[in-house]
Amino acid sequence: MTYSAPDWNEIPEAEFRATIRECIENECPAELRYHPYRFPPEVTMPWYKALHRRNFIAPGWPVEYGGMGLNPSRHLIFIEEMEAMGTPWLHDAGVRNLGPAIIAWGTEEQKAYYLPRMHAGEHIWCQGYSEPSAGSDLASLQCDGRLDGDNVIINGQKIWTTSAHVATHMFGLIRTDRSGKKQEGISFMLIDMSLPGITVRPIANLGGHPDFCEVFFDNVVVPQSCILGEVNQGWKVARSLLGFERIWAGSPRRAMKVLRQLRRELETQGLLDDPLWADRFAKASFDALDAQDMYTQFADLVRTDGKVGVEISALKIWSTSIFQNLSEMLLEVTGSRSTLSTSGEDDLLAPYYESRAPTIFAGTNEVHLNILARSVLGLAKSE
Amino acid sequence: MTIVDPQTAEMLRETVAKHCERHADGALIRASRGEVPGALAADVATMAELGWLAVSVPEDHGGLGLAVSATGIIAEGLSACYSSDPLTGLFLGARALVHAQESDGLLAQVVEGSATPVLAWQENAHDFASPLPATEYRNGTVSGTKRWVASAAQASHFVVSAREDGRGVLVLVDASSDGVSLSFGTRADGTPIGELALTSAPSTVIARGSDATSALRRSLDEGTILIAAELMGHIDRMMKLVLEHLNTRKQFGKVIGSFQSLQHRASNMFVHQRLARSVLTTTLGCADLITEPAEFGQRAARLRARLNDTTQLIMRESIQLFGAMGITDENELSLHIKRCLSLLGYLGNSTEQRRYWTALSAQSARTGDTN
Repeated sequence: MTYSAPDWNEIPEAEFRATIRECIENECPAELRYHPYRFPPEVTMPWYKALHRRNFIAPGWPVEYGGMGLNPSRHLIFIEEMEAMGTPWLHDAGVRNLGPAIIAWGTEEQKAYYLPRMHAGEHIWCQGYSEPSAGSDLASLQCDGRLDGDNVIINGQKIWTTSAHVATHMFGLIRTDRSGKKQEGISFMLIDMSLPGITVRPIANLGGHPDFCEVFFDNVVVPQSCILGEVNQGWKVARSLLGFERIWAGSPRRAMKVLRQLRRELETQGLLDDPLWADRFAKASFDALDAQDMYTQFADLVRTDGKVGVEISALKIWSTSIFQNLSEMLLEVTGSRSTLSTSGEDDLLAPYYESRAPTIFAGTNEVHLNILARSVLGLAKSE
Repeated sequence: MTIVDPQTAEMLRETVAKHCERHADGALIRASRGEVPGALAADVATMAELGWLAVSVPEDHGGLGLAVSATGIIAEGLSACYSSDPLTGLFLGARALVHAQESDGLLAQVVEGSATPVLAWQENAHDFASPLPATEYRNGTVSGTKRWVASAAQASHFVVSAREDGRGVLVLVDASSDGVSLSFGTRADGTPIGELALTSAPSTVIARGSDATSALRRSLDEGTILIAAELMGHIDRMMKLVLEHLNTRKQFGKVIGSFQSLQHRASNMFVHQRLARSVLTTTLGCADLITEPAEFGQRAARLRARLNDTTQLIMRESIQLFGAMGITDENELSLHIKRCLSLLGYLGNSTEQRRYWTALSAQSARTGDTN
């Protein structure tokens, strides 16, 4: 095949947007669009496959791995178009989060095996970090991995594992050494969820959806070749991934989505000309558009420096906070309609529910305030 | 107009920083309160010598052909002198001439500092939406009262907005003409702000109708970006002072910066500081290239609203974190606080910026895709 993709960063913006829209219109069925919650993977798989086929599934990956190699501002436009046309939320922690880590840390065998399979949607990944006693204090995690010849025998538990009930694989942090500092005995493992000894129990969230789970490991035998990076050096791998995660968690795309919803509501109700609502809407718009400026700058830094500085915590805190503010404003704009439980595009409560988690995951916002105080502002360790 | 390149930007930053190291003088500012012209960051001759007046003038008038991208850097840096005066007023005057396409050589004199036109546009406290002025131009003379005239003490000319047969007009008035009477009020930081009374003052029209209103609008939008840039400088300096205090002041046997409740307040300030910085950097990096008026106005309004709100937050929190020391005039913090109070309500407070942005959204063809 001689087809070669254009340089997505160089083609005119209008053409770039048109290409994405064309893809969505032709490949994403109407019944999948504007749905407030995440569908099970089999429902969205035809859409996922279409993105895979067109090499649109991993827009941030380098082109040689099937990505689009998008720079941050193009990446934002990509997301913007996807959100504006209501494309469904995918189980894509693999391509989004793990992919860049495998590209950075993986052996050639790991890259050759895992990358094409997550790209194709054959492997669906979940992230196994948190444990009942290791939340904000993640490095104290206890899920045990005993090295045994070429294998690791895993026993223990993970919790708040998003998509674990539908995932084929988990990238998880497992304690493989207890002799040194708590950060130094952790391995980053790629675990096949079909292995004997793994039990998954979904947990219903506030919105009533089973989005996250508890995962139990009972003598699960995983080959050591499934360790990403060095054994006991998983904290380093996880930290490098946190950079991507924080950029992702700090993306204003969710807030922008609610902003568009707010605008539609105000328009429909004829409230955009009401000075009070117009002022509140302008304020909400500034909060979200300013977050976009901030996001683009951090993303640019990541691209040019290849690393995320600790200041990124500011972005995460801001974007997740305004997501909540906007979702609360949506309830207010819709008056008594906001008290009703509905579904589909009219679900006014969905943004409220969905915006609760981001201030908690990827480091609670309070943990991020601590990070800023210590690492950016240089304030003394608190007791 | 082009965007300042990174090397020139860095050079400008260094020059401004060096200037401030030598000239920042809080004692002089305190001693000069209520006086005309009061303490200045630099006098006109110095600004001309350093090239700061040439920055915003097009190259074919002998300037550097840069606008807010470069002047913003100067305004921000001059916050280390606790004020950028008389930069803003001179910038507004020069830009109004540029946008009105003034062509009889005055801009070349601006570059040298031998002419110092300033903009006299405002009449009432809420004029940021720039309604048709009450000041009237008729048969070669202009009459009316202009208030909040920045850098009026330095003015060689006034660029005056007026009405003529129900349409907007920009006219040029020589400061030494008959019928020109200048008095001064005192701003929160003790510096003067001009009130200009014009009684049949001889004047020359430099733009009429939509040319005049759009030239004025663009100048005001650029001016508001400049104010935002200066506010950013004050924010950074207030943050620095507060952090020094948190790291040295001891209570209960330890530095107060080790208390988590105070750390979280400081970190929250940083979140807003970083956000404001992002919006400023993005805006300075694109503004001069924006030709579409609504897009430019929306960019400027959003930036200014963010900087205003962030400044208020940093002022409030800084005073609180300094405790009793925060409410003294003697504290260096007070110089920044008073300067910010002199700027926040000038060229559009946050509410006015939002109203302006909303009006432009309604106008804009691309309503769904706002700036």
